[in-house]
Amino acid sequence: MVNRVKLARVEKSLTQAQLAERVNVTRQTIGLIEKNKYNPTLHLCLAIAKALDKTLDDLFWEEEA
Amino acid sequence: MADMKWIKTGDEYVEKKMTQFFSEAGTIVAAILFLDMIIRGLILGRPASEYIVSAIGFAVYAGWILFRYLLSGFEYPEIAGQAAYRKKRKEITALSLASGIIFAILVLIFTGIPKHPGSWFDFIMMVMLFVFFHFLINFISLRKSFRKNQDLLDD
Repeated sequence: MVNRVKLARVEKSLTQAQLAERVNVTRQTIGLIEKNKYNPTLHLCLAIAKALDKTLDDLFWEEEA
Repeated sequence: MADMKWIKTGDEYVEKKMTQFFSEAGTIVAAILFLDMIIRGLILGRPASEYIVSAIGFAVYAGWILFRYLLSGFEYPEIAGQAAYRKKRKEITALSLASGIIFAILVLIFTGIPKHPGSWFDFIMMVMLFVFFHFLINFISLRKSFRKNQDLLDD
């Protein structure tokens, strides 16, 4: 599963640490999500989407084949 | 420094990993206790008093998982209606009785046919207790699942 969290974060000019603080996780967890090494809960996905002014689809929906 | 920060992080990744490490630690300890039981009891033939604590430790580990599993109510995720519940209850009753027969046969094979009324009584009591606990364990699990599903399923 590819996600566009990093892209959306950079668009919003946020650092990993800033995003991490807004969604109340560690910076490392943001890094893991961006690299697809951790599968976040829906709860955290929603928090990230809200913090980046995106929808879940924008961030996590798979690209059309 | 490896302090105990993770206790108050609230970070779900850290929490998930820590839960995993706790369960790994439990499994490792249980495996060591089990090995101790096998080595001292079966291989070296030491007296039971030497490894009884290991046996208790292992039993607590396995028993706790079984206990939590039974009370979790996720063993029968599809049982919601009265009819399905009654049908399943009949099934577990039959299963307990069948298991009791197999248990009785195994006991007879390993201990021989009882020779006087006293040992027949012991044998019958043992089989009855086996069937009772077998049924009780499954019944509690079914009951818990049924109750839980009534709140969760929409039909």
